[in-house]
Amino acid sequence: MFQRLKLHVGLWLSQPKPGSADVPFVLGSALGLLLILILPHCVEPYMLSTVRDALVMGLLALSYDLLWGKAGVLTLGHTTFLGLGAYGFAVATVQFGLAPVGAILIGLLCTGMVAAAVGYFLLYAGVRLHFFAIVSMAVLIIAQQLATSWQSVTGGDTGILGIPGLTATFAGHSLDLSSPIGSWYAVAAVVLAIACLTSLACRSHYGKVLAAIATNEWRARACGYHTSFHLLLLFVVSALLAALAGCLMAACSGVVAPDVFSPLLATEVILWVAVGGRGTIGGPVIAAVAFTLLKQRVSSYSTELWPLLLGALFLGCVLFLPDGLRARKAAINLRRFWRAMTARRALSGRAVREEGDNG
Amino acid sequence: MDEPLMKATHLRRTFGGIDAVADVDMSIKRRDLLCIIGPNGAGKSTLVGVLSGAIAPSSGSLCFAGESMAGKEVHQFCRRGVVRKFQGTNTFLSLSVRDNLIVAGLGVASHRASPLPDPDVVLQEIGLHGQANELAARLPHGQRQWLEIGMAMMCQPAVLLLDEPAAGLSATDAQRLVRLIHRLREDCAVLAIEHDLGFVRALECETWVMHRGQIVRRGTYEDIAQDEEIRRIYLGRGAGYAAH
Repeated sequence: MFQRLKLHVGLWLSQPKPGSADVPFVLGSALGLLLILILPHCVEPYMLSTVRDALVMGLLALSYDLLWGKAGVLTLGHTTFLGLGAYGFAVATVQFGLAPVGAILIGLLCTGMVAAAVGYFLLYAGVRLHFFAIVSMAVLIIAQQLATSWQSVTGGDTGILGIPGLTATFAGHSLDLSSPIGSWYAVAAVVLAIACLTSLACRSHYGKVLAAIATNEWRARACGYHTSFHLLLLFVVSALLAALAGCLMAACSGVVAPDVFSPLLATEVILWVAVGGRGTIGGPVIAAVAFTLLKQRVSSYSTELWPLLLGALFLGCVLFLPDGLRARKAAINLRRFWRAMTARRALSGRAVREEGDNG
Repeated sequence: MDEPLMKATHLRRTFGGIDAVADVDMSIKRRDLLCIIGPNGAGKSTLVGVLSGAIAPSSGSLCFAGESMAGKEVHQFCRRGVVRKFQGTNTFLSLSVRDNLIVAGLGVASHRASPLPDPDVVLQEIGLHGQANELAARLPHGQRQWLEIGMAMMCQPAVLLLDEPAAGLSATDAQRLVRLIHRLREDCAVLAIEHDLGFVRALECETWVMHRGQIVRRGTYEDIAQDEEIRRIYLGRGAGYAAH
């Protein structure tokens, strides 16, 4: 039994030899670690908690990158799982008085079951691509309705207030992580650890299998893979990471309201991943943090400006950065666009001249 | 030992009232090598599709190693050792050549709890060791054919179904492929469907002729080539193909 398990782990998670392609990963993790340690000494506590909340959104972006970037499953309702995690944590702590660690487990368990059920019926039935995206949006709207109307549990429109911060008790020693600095270290460490783990998992043979399923699912099936199962597994893992982000969000902010199930936020997640670079793990996290901070700055001037700016950014991203923020590719695309524009102008100029000649 | 590895009885597949495969009986034994030829639309590709689990038969039964394969999906066929080489361009284009091979081998290896076949050995055999780190999308068509064959080899097949393996290969490559197929036959049964009669002749194997969904002749290539009726079916109106 043990031998068999070892063989399977060896097959699926075996890593290629380190090479030049791993430089961004190593540099990125080192830089991340440095930032985690330095930032509390550089900025004031209020700013630190703002960045912390943005980093929680980074975890959400990471979970979505795993699903869309690595396996090519597009959903429009990823915040369903963020909300379920947040509500699970809030209900478990406020209504049932559980300790935060237990509440996180409850939140993850509920989300995992919902994701497994939804994913099983959709993915095993062969629902893919935009059909999957539309159904996932319907699930999000159902969840939103449930959160507003099931008042006895979710508190209706007001949501749940007074959620306790993170504390952990291990063998009599209790660790309070609810202060700005404490929660910063907790959140940042969780995000960095998960980013490193997912990067390593995607670097292994299993990551290649996922990439293969994303590019040519039918061919992968002919290689002996039960592709629906692998997609379901990834869907559940991604939902669990989103739920963890939800738990952290609830614990950090102390409130949960039905607007966590917002379709707007679900679209923003797609934008973060698209701009940060699909399948790069680190890119979407950085994009999510940057966009969330930018959103707060812009919203303080005018609340209507943000959706406008978001739309413009999305359009620009589709036009110039179809692969996300990768400097070299972006430059190539810009140049190509510029050439197309100038060529068209030259062509139309020539056409006018020829018309003139004929006339 | 002589028990057939794969056995099909009264196999039929209809598309909109037309029998693409009509009442085919066949059996493949261990280490058999056979070729199916026939004009366009004879149902060769559909037959390979049904044998590989990609297309469900409309009626009839298909057994592999004594087990009925009815209702089984294509990944279950592959795990049992019925492996199909697709026509040309069906690889994982976004992965490197080596990763294509690793991915192809991993599914079956993990299901059987056996170690992964060494991709470097297969790379040598298919002659792509120089392009191991190249993206599959960058390979020319002929080399993608070799990659497809390599991917099928990584699946540790018991029955290898080759769908037009020589299409797009140069004459020297076709000769190399003939040698490789004879080598593969030491480990598994090989069934090839092919248009290129020169390639079939070079294989020197049992040859079947398919026409309108049925297998109309079974014999050696020489017997088939002598048969007047086959010449009429296969070569059509003129003998323009004969020189081919």
